[in-house]
Amino acid sequence: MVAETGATGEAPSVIDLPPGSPTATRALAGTERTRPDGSPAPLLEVRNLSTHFFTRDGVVQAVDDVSFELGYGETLGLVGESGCGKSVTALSITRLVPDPPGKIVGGQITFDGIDVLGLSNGGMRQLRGKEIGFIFQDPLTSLNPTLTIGYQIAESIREHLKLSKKAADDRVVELLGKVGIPRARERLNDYPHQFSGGMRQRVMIAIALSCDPKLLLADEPTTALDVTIQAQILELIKTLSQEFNTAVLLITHDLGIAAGMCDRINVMYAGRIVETGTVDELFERPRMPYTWGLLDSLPRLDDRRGARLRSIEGMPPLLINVPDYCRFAPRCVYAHDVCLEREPALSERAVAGHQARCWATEPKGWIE
Amino acid sequence: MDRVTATQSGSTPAPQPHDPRNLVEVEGLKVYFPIRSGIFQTQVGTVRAVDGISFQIRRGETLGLVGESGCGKSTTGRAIIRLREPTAGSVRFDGIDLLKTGSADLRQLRRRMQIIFQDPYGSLDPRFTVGATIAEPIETHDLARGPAKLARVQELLELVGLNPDYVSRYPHEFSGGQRQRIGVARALAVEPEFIVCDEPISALDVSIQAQVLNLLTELRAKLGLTYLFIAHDLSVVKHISDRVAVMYLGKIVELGPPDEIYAGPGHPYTRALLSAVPIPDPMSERKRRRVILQGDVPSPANPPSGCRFHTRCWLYERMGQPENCRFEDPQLRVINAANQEHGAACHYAEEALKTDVGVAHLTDMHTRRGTPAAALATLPETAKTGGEATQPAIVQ
Repeated sequence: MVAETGATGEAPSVIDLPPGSPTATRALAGTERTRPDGSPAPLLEVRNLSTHFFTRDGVVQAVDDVSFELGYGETLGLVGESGCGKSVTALSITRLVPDPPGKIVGGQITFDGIDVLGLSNGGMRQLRGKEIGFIFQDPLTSLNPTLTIGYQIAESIREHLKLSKKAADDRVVELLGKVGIPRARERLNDYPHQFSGGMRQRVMIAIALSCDPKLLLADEPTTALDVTIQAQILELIKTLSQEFNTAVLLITHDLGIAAGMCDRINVMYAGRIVETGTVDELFERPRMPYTWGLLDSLPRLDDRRGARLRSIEGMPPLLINVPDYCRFAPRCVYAHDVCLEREPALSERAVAGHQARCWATEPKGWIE
Repeated sequence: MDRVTATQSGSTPAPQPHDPRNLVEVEGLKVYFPIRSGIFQTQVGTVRAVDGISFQIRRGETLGLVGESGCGKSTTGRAIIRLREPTAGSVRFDGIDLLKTGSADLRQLRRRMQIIFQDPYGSLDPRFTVGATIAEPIETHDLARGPAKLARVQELLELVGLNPDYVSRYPHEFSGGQRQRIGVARALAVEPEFIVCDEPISALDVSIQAQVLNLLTELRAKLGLTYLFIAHDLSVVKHISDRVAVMYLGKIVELGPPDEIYAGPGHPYTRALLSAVPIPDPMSERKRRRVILQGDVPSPANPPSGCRFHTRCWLYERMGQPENCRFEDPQLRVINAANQEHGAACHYAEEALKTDVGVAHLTDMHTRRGTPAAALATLPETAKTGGEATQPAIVQ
């Protein structure tokens, strides 16, 4: 079949790749792959990922045995407090964990049928920027202050899409228009410092989406921004990801942002996923005391005033010598003896796809 | 009656008489910063960070001050305790005009007012032990010496929920939340009446934010404190404040009780702000309709004429770009005769009140989801309200 298409001269541009190489397979099979059983395969599959940091004080188990899937065009939230491992998970997916001291010590990451951890550095570079776009928290430090923004956006387009300078510039202008930067052509030669924080984040989004990626990693994309600008940026990410059918892995500590943006949410605590489910299920029937605590800690605009917040006492554990029992148990007011003896598995709850890691809310647990 | 009608312009010829119910009275406060340029650093412009604002803080209340970055809220907080020298206006603390007070008297007054900063990492000296940090204001004001001083420091640590044995530890041994508690202890060391809380929880994690908020609420009740609570998070400000002032580009655009403001904001900017706040509930989120503000905040060095918000105002467009928005600076005024406490600085506030723009998703308050009732039922009665905020956290 490959030979046939080749003969008629309609070969897709990837035909010169060895047949069976992941990219070639995908191009021929269309955008969505299937599993052996015929069900659609996810865009991203993370299996038992463990990323540790080898420091002088000991081994920090930043991400420990994390598994999840992200479908094509889906938005998945990774929610948790600082140090819970959500950013390290994202860095692991793109193999950007600083090494040393960090190292992916176990697990498997499959992106669009490609074994990410088995890729060569060159293959990885093809993936980053082209198939996977990034937006980070701080747009000022993510942009190079000495290069014009036109150059910085065109850089990945020219690298990955092999466009001429002229064609690349046209694409940059189109992208800047899409992310809502007025008078885009006049601003091509401006430097990052000439843009406001919100505008810089728009530039970052333009770079991230420049090569039409299948996955957008957004790590706290609005944390440094004001609330009105935050709303603009989130809306932009939402519309553009829908328009391009880009899957989004949204990393945030803000459950409000997750509620408005995500299809599904993974709650992380101390390097582990402790609860996962659809956004409605997770907010409607959370089944893990840490999730309860996060929800209760937040003052809400639609609250009546004055009620005392039910805060989570204590602090997250240091991830050196983590206990072999439930990592949240020391802060959990519902903990029984078993919680301090063995760690519960991430197991299904009443609704399929809703999983929690908690003895108390398991079918035989003490909280109904 | 509250003086929301007080003028905002700097030309306040007759100062209002001191009302003993007010601890802080601010009138026509202006703080300008020069813009300097070139090798001779000649002044080429002026940033009007705070441009003629008036408000009062009553004894024992928490006044929340919200706005986006650069609106002048932090500058206001600092000018009130004279950490920044105001350009014009008056600030009276307990009836005493701070701007006319000499340095010796000011020093005495400073004992009664303190500030808690945002950055718990930057605001503690890494070379000072916790004990030395908290003892410093006690020494400065010579409030206690020797064993009494140590006892006082330990008492303060306990008050903010830290282990009294931590006196000899250094800041790096503490987490962000604990450092913020140390900052609170230092502020409380001189037994102040008034504390400016400048974004005290913005740098903290969600679960720790709630701990510090609860601590501040408890301390206020226990010690009879008055707070000016500066924050950009409208949910937090609503939670802690008795009254809220919304700032935009150096001006107060709305002032009043939070329930009142959040249910029926009179200023189009307040509505835009409220509509932008994400709510941790997918159902409310789907109902939320954001008010789109065009462009970025204008530069405070060159604010728009008339109403400063008119360049981005949705109501201005809806009203057909009325002339007075461009030429007349609107004053803070009572917009609903039924509530004299609630004021907004908008020529067309009544029109804003007729709509549900920006707050439609907030109208039906539902029971909040979080810990399920079945879980709460398993807890002893004392734990149901959220544990003890003063429980010392463990330092590893």
